[in-house]
Order: sequence, then structure tokens, then C-alpha cells
Amino acid sequence: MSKKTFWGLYLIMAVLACLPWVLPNSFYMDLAIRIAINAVIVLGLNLLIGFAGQISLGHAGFLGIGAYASAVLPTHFGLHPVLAMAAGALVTGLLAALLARPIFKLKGHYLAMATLGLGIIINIVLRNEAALTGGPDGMPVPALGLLGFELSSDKHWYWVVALLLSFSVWASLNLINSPFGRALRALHGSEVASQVAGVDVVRYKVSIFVISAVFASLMGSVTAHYVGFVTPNFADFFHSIELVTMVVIGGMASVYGSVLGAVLLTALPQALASFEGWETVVFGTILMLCMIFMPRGLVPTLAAKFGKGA
Amino acid sequence: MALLEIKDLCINFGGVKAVQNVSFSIEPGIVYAVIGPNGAGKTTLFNLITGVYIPTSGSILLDGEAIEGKAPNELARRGVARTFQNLQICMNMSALENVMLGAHLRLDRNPLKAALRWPSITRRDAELRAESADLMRFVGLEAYIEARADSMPYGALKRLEIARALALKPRILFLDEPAAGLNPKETIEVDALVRKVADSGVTVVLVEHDMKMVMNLSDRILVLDYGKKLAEGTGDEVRRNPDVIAAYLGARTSEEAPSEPVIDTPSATFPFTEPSLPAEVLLQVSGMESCYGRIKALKGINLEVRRGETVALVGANGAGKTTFLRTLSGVQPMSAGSIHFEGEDISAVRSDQRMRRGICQSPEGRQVFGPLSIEDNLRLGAYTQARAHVEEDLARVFDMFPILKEKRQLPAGTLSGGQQQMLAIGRALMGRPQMLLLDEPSMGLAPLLVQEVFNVVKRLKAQGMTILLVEQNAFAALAIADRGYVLETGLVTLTGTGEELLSNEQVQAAYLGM
Amino acid sequence: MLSQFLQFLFSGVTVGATYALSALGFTLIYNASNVINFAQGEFIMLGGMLAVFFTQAGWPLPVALIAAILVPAAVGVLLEKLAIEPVKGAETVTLIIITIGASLVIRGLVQVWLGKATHSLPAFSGDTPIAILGATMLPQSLWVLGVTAVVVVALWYFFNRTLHGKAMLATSFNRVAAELVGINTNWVLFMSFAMSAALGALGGILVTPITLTSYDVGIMLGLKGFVAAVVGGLGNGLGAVLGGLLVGILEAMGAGYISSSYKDAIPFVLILFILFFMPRGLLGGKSTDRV
Repeated sequence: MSKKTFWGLYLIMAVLACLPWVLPNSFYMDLAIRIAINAVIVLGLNLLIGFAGQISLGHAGFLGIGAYASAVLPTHFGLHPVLAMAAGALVTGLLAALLARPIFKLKGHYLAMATLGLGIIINIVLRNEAALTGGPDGMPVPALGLLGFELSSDKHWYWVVALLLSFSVWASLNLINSPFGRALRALHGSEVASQVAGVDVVRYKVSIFVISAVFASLMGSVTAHYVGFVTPNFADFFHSIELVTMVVIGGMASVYGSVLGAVLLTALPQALASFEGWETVVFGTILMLCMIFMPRGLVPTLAAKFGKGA
Repeated sequence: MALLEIKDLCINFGGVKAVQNVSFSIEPGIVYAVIGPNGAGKTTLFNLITGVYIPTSGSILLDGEAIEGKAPNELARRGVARTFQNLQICMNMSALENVMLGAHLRLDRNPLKAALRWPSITRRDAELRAESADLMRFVGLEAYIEARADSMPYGALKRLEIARALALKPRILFLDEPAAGLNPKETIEVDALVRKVADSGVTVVLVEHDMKMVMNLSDRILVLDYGKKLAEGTGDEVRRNPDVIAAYLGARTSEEAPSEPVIDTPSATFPFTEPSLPAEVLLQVSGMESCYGRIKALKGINLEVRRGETVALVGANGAGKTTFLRTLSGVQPMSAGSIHFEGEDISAVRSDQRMRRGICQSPEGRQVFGPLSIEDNLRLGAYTQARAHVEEDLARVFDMFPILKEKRQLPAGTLSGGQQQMLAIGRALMGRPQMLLLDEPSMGLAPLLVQEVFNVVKRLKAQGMTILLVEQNAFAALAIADRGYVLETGLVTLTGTGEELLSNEQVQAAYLGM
Repeated sequence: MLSQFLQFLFSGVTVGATYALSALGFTLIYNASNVINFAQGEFIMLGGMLAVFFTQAGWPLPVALIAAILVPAAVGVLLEKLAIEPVKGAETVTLIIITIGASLVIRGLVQVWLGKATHSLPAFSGDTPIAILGATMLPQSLWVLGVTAVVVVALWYFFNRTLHGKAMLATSFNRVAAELVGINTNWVLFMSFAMSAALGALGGILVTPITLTSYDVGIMLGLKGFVAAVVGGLGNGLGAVLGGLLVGILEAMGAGYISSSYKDAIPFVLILFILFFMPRGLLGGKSTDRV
């Protein structure tokens, strides 16, 4: 794999290293942490949407499972947060594996519908089981701790998340250029071609769906621990759409695009916080304009213009 | 022992027997070609053997192992590789990566190790990169080793697919129309490449329309017609076989009356042309070009049709005949050239407007509105006409095609092929055409029905209709045409009166690659 | 027992009629362009909200209602021209995202301009419930069912008995052949979006006196309409109507007999069930894949 594809990673790592000294106050620190978390989630989702060419309109549901596992299991069942996170990931993985095979026999709009339905059902369950989940008002999440060391200060969180992001970008880049990654991208390019090359198409789709779901669940747990509180809005349809928007804007099938998309669209709601209704309008307009004029997303379109590959 | 053995293979689609009791065997190391006229079942046969379709009955044995019904990826495991007529390339990847994809089964596909950059995986990938570059050189794509797939020209992509197939290290390679869409120079290059592949020990099976290429390359040839095996043997044996010649060029139609009349002796005449007018030029096409994505299907067609004439446009499959008619009707974009109809330039006129000016088409494959009734189909044919004369026109069409009147309320999709063809022609006639375009009206029809269709054409001609007839069945078309044009890979290569072309040996050569 | 069953049935059929109109809208657009219009729900919302807004502005009821149908129809046409036509032939994902984006824009604009409050319309013929076999039915429900039935019959007549309607159908069966007989397929697309939006808006107006309206009712109504269309068989008009009624009834029954807090989940469990076992729907719609 050519060295130049990693320049972006080095750049990201450099930025991450310098940021704490540059950011003026804890508000921006918090924003940076949220951006980094979103970036990791979007990376996982992009593997499914951008690289493998599938659709998921219910991914926030998986985030929700992880987040609520980290809230409910320690609070109501005394489970250690790390085990709770693992449990959440396991449940998500099983659910995704169970539903993936029938889902991926469908294509196009049917697939979108199935993932959407799944996400909505999860959201409704979380909203309704108030005894466990605190209902629409949500519930607090205990701090994440390992070996007696509790992760609570912003600074600690920052470094943890920065490492996580760097690792995720590195791993994604590796994955894309491996045999597995090529098979994934081939799925998007031509399923027929993949099949005759020996790729078991359904199995691959199922795998990437499960991987991407488990990823989301883990990150859902991380977010829950960081914020310290979780509400069902975290797992709602709009959040799923936000995530898809980040994938689409930054660039489907672009690792760096995922990061860029997360940066842009996590910062945007903050900027629009005072214009409540406009946030929706702006999101919608961005989605439409992007898909009409730049269907491949920012990073790939710009890269093509300047003659590079990303 | 034979490498591939096919025994009594059958497949039915709905009621249609697309492949019927086909049996043959292929020895290892040879080049085996499957040929046959349009609709003979060649691609279906390919799809059956390569796992795209599951046969209704019969068996496929690869080295003695039954493989019918196995999925394509399982067949890949057994060393079966194939390319596609309409190119299946991953445009989102680089050329090299497309080739590397072919080696998928030979690599470690573990995602976890991949994510962690396991040394064995990176090392193996680097080796594969070098191997794939070598393969690209082997197929003559050295110039594109660093390129992205979407920047490569069509001819190069066809070779890229072959390189990908070779990366599988196959025992047997299925090539589906490797020369489709290529110009003569590129065709010669592909011909040489296939020879090279065969010489390297791979058994090659190909479907191809380019007869020169087939005769050059193949050790043995299978001829299919209507889903059945028509002939098998060496190139020479096949080419001299009278059944084969008839299947391709069309038997000379006899004057025997059909047993079940589809058309009645017409009192129906369509009020279009006054026979006393001198023969003016109705249609003038100059320099027409048209592309499908990267393929230039029409490369500069010049053609004219005079009022009252029947002009035949013949040529082998893939020559561009249907593309021409579609461009003429405005449903296919024209990238260069002009069309003048009745003296006016209609090059930029929208398709429904061209129809209103009197250019009506009975499209290839009939294209009737299946769920709608016959009567509805016909009335839709008169969509652009004033309501006043629709009823009388409908009556005339029913006069001409009584079977349609009988079944007028039934859905068009329940009609047989021949009846649908009548419907398609009737629908076009409802539009009160000044010029009637008929696209392969005899395609897929049994010989008796073909005769009936041509009888219809003759009757319309006798009534003074201007007809532009596109046909793969050259004999029948040229026999009734006043003039004809021969189309070869997007260009007109011959023109003359119907009789001149009929006796012209070049026409035969173009079809049978002699 | 019976009266309770009937009660649930009545409310299910009423809301089912709205889903049916929504589903018909999806079907129309899908048949004409192979696009699933995720903004369909917003047309329903627009119908209700605009009806409220226009009547509050002092317009006479009939005028307000007609405007509340025409404006969404215009929005539908705008959507088609600006967002769908430019990207003809794009990937499914692209089209889905564009219509989702459109739904966000419409919803957001309504939120900003007309506020987040919940509104109602006066019932068309009063509020006195009618007693039937021990259960009660609102007069407005009769309006919903009646008008929906009229609309469905009118659409059936249009598509099966008029030449223009058949031309639209023909376009969905075979676009090229339709162009070859002189049908202006762009016009067909245009009409489909306009009709689809009008249908949705009508449904929204009819049901507002019962279920109220606000800027965000569109999401669920639209999604459930889509579920109904798939349940009935995507692309099949009769299927859309049956699907709508079925979803409405199942939802009401589920809410009544099982749990009312999970009411909204029922259509989505149903869709997963259908997609896994009967993806072509009850009446067998078209495959969503263009080969």
C-alpha cells in the first residue's frame, strides 16, 4: 500500500496532539471530544454505506443499545461498566447477525426500510421501558473505570478518544486495502464481478453489517460514559439521518471523508444552536445539495479535482 | 476425460423453453465456441453453466463433479472463471485492484488481521500486486497499471476483465462476447489475446457473434437455435452446414398459406400515401452517431428513405441496427449528425413530438404494455391522434389482425410472441404513420410466423406505406425491400437494391465470416 | 367485548384510510420514477398545517382547504423539478437521501414559519359521536372514510378508464414503449408528484380534526404510509389501499389489546415481518431492483 495514503493519518495525529494547547476553554474541548467520537462512529458506518454500498437508516439504534447497556446494566444489575459495554456489543452483534441475512436478501429501498424499521423499534422500546431506562427523560450513566482508575476528567477523555480515533483511522486504512476490504469495495462496484471472483456476497454483507453495528454499540457506550447521561433521542431516526449525512457529506468510501464529515456536522448544530428550526432546514438543504451536485462527497470530489486518490 | 460435460440440460422460464435438452462435452485445453442467431439461448446456456441460473433438469459435470445449481462463488472455487457481455468492472476501484480481486480466493481474508496490518497479509498483498501487474502486461494493458478503472477506454476494460478472470488461475474460462462493442482493430487484438490464453493451457469457452473471430480461434463449435442444439463440429463443418446457414441468414420464404391465418385479406387500407406522387425523399439521415456510455454504437450513418419505399437495414447482431432506430425515434440520444424528415430538421425534436410527425415504431422485442388489454394498447398507439378517427382506425387494425379483435379485452402479456408482434405493428399503425419503423419483427418467432409477419409487411407496402425495416433475417428482409443497407459495427458498408444485395456474396461473408 | 372490538376497528379504519392515501402517494411516484419519496409524510403534514393556517387567516373553509391541497401539490412538483429530475438515473442511496433531505427542509421551514404548536381544525360536521352497535364513531371519521373512498374510486376510474390514466400506467410498465407511442414521460412524472402530494395533503386535512396536527406529524405518517405500500405490494394501487387499512387496523388492535405505548412500533414490526417472509407484499408488487 502506498505511503501517501497515510499522510492524512499523520496530519490528524499531529492536530490531535496540538489541540489541547490551542483550545481556549472546556466548551471547545468538549466539542473536540464529541467530534472525535462521531468520527469513529462514522468510520464504522462508512464501511457499510460507502465501501460496501449498503444502506442503513437505523444505525442510531445500535448506538442506543450500547449506550443503554452501559447505563442500565451497571445501575440496575451491578455489572462492571467494561463488562456492560461488552454485553451491549454482544447483544448488538447477535441482533445484527440475526437480522442481517434476511435483510440482505433485500435490496435498495427494501433494505433501507428494514434498517429504518429496526432503528425505530429499538427507539420505541427504549422510550417505553421506563422502569429500566428512565423513559423519555433518560437516565444517568456511571463513570467508566478500569483497575481502580476512573475516567472522569475532560483531559483524560480527550486522550482516550484521540487514541481511539487515530487507531480507527489506521485500522480502516489497513482494512480497505486488504483482501477483505477489496471484496467489500467490489460489492459496491459490481456484485456480479465479486461473485465470480469467489466472494460469498451475502456472507460479506452480513459481516460488514455486524462489524459496523458492534462498532456503533461500543461507541454508544463510550458516548454514554463521557456524557454521563443518556436519553432515547440518542437512538432516534433523526440521529440515524445525521450519521448518514456525515458519511455522505464527507465522502462515501473515504476514510478521511468520514472524519471531515464528522467535524463539519458536529460543529454545525453548535453554530446553529440559537436558530432552532433552521438546523433542520440547513441539514436538509446540505443533504440535497450534496447529493445533487457532489454525490461522491467532499473529500473524493476534491481529491479527484486535484488529481489524487484518497 | 472431458473437462466439462453437459447432459440434457433444460431450463424453462415461465412457459418458455429457453434451453432444451442440450448435450455436449468439452475436452481440456481446447477453444470451444457457442454460436447461434439472436435469442438462440447462448447466454442462457452460459448462465446455466456458470451458476447464474439453476437448470430445470439435466446435469453439468466439471471433471466428473456435478455442479449444476452451485452458486458462482462456489464455482470460482473450482476454477471456473468468466467475463461478461456487458462488462462487470468495479469502477470504484483501480485497474490493478480489479485484477487483484480475481485472486480473492487465494488470499487470507480475515478482517481482524487486516485491520491490524498483519505482516503476512501485507507481504502477500505486495506479491499479489506484482503478480497482477504482470497479468496486466500479459493482456496488453501495461499502459494502465497505475490507472483507475473509470479512466480506461472500453476496449481496455474488456481486457481487464480477462485479466481478472486469469487472476483466479482458472481451469476453464468462459468468455461472453469478448469482441462485443469493439472496432475491427481491437477485435483482432482480443482474438490474439484469447489465442494466447488458450495456448497457456486454459480451456476457453466463448460465445461470440463475430464469425471471423470464431472461425479463427475455435477448435470446436456448438450451434444453438431456439434453445436446441442445431449442429456441432469444427469450423469448416459448421459453416458448410445448410441448417446453420438457414438459421443465420433466414430461409427463403415460401408462398404457402399459413394454417392459422393471423391476417385476413385486407380491405383495410391506411390513408397515408397517394401512389401518384413522385418518390420524394422522406427521411434523410447524415452522419448519425450515438454512444452507450463509452461504446460508440453508431459511427456516422448516412441513409435515406423515399416515400412509398420499403428499405431494409440488415446486419449481424451488435451492428447497431436497433440503436439506429431508437436514435431515429428519439429515445436514444444522438451525439452527432442530423435527421431530416419531410424536409425539416428534427434532430432536436423530442421523441413524442417525432411520433406526432408520423414516425411510428414497432420496437424490438414488441414491448407491448403487458398488463393492459389489447384494445388499450392499440388506443394508446393513437394517443397523439385526434379522438375523431380513433374508432375507425381501431376497426381497420382489427380487420387486418382478426386475432387481436377476438382477444381485445385480454391483457397483452398473455399473447403469444407472434400475436404480440401483430399487436406491436397494429399499435404503431394506430399512430397514422408517415413512415413505419419495424425493429426485428421476426425475432424469436417460429418460421411459419416469420412468414406471416413478412406477409403483413408486404401488404402494408402494397398499400403505399413507407417502411424502414430492420432485420437480422437478411434474406427475408432483402427479398421484399426496394433498397437495402448493410450495417457493420456502426457503419453502413453496403447499399443497393434488395436484389443486388441478396445475391451479393459480401453479405453472406459478413454474416458467416467467410 | 364486541363494542370494544368495534371501537378499535373504527379508529383503525379511520387512521388506516390516511395511511392508504399516503401509500397511494408512494405508489404513484414509485411507479412513475422508481423513487421512494421519503418526503411523502411532509405533504400530509402540510395539508393539515396549511388548512389550519389558512382558516386562521380568515379564508372561507372551502377556499382554505383547496389551497391546502394545491400548495403541497406545487411543492411536490418543485421537489420533482429541483431534486429528482437533475439526478435522473442516480443510485438508489442517492435518491433516498435526497428525498430525506427534502423532508427535513419542508419540516424545518414549517417549524420556523408556523411554529411548533399543535393545532386542530373544526370537524366538518360537528363533534357529536355516532353510536353504532355499542361503539362510537366520530362524524369526522365518516368524512375520512367517505372522502377516501371517493378518491380511491376516482383514481381507479382515472387509471382504468381514461386514456391519460392508462398512459401513466403504460409509462410505469414500459417507459421506452410509452415514449414511442408519443406519451410525454416527463409530464407523467410531473403529474405523479403533483397527484401524490395532493393525496397526502388531502389525507392530512381530513384527519386533523381527529388527531390534530403539528410540524412533526409527517415523519410517522409518511413512514407508516410507506410500510402500508410495501405490505400491500410496492407499485400496486389496490395493495396500497389494502395495506393502509391493514396497518391502521393492526395498529389500533395492537394498541387496544396489547399495549398502547407500543402502538407506533406495530407497523414497523409488521414491515420487518413482511420484508422477511413476503417481500413482494400481499398483492405482489414489483421488484425494487432495476436489472
